[in-house]
Amino acid sequence: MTETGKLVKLILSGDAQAFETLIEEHKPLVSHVVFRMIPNPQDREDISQEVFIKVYQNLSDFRFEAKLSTWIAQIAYNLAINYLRQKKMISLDDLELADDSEGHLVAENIQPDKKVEEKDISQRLKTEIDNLPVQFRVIVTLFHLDQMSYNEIGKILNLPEGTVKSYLFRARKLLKDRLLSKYQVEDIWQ
Amino acid sequence: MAVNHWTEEQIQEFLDGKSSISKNSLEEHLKSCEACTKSFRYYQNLYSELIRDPGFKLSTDFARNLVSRIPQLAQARARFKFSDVFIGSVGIAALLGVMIFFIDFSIIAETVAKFSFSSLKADVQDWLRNSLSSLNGGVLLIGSSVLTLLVTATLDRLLSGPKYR
Ligand SMILES: [Zn+2]
Repeated sequence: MTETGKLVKLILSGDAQAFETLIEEHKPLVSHVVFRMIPNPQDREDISQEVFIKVYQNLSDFRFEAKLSTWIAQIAYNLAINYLRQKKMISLDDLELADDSEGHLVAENIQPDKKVEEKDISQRLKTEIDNLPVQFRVIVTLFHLDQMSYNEIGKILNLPEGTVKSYLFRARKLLKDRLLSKYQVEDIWQ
Repeated sequence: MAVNHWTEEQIQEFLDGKSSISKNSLEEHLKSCEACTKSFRYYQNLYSELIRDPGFKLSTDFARNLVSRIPQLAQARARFKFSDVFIGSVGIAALLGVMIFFIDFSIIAETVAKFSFSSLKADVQDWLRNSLSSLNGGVLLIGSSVLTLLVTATLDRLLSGPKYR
């Protein structure tokens, strides 16, 4: 039996220590998804808790067809989407990206800020990621921070692999263009 | 100029390690092309920014707090199952109620009276017959209260279920 299999079995048999291990192992993944999706800092902790509670309550349904991390990320994504819908922070349209939504994202003709210093780039990038459509944010995060494949990300967001790939490419192009046009990072990025 | 520049998509594919084009042919082109070199550098820089830890921190005792709630969670799960059993039995009761509603008790009363009451006194016979017949009205009451219970239980289950299902 795999390590994950053993861990799941222990948790199902009521081993609290094993559940704590699962939480510690998947805390970074869940926080990546939840923090990127939920703007309100107070709710981030609550929703992350909800994620693990749901994991605990549904663990006996986990069938090992997917990776445990994929399954947990899926729960996190769905809870966060439901939260955004409940708070009316998102509509169905936001999930079916209209082609002009992107045009609008690029077309903003903002005067560039004062030149940023290298140490500021991370902060600017964070801001620009937050301005992306929610699915772009999650895809960029799962791909670069959690080293997930297009296939795994597709399972989590319930999107075809090709869509994941195209959103990822568009997201990165948007980020690059906006950092260049708004903050004049080209001197640092030479 | 008949130079084949790299598209941004190809550059991203290359940096993702998913490009079919070899490293050599990229380097060869970059040597002579300033535009692609620029674009390549921008993406390289973006990629190295994107893998930086964004500093998303949950509280330090996040895991321990959650684990301490396990007994509560287990209880919640048990209560959930209890409510399933409850709804099941109310459902069956409702079904029986509806069935009973359509049965005409006065006929049963007459039949039963004919065969078993003959040894009893006439006034006892009447009393039994009347009480059986009066069930017809009572059944409506029982049926509707059972249905009300069923609706209440279902609503309760929906409302007290997990917050973000
Ligand atoms: Zn070129």
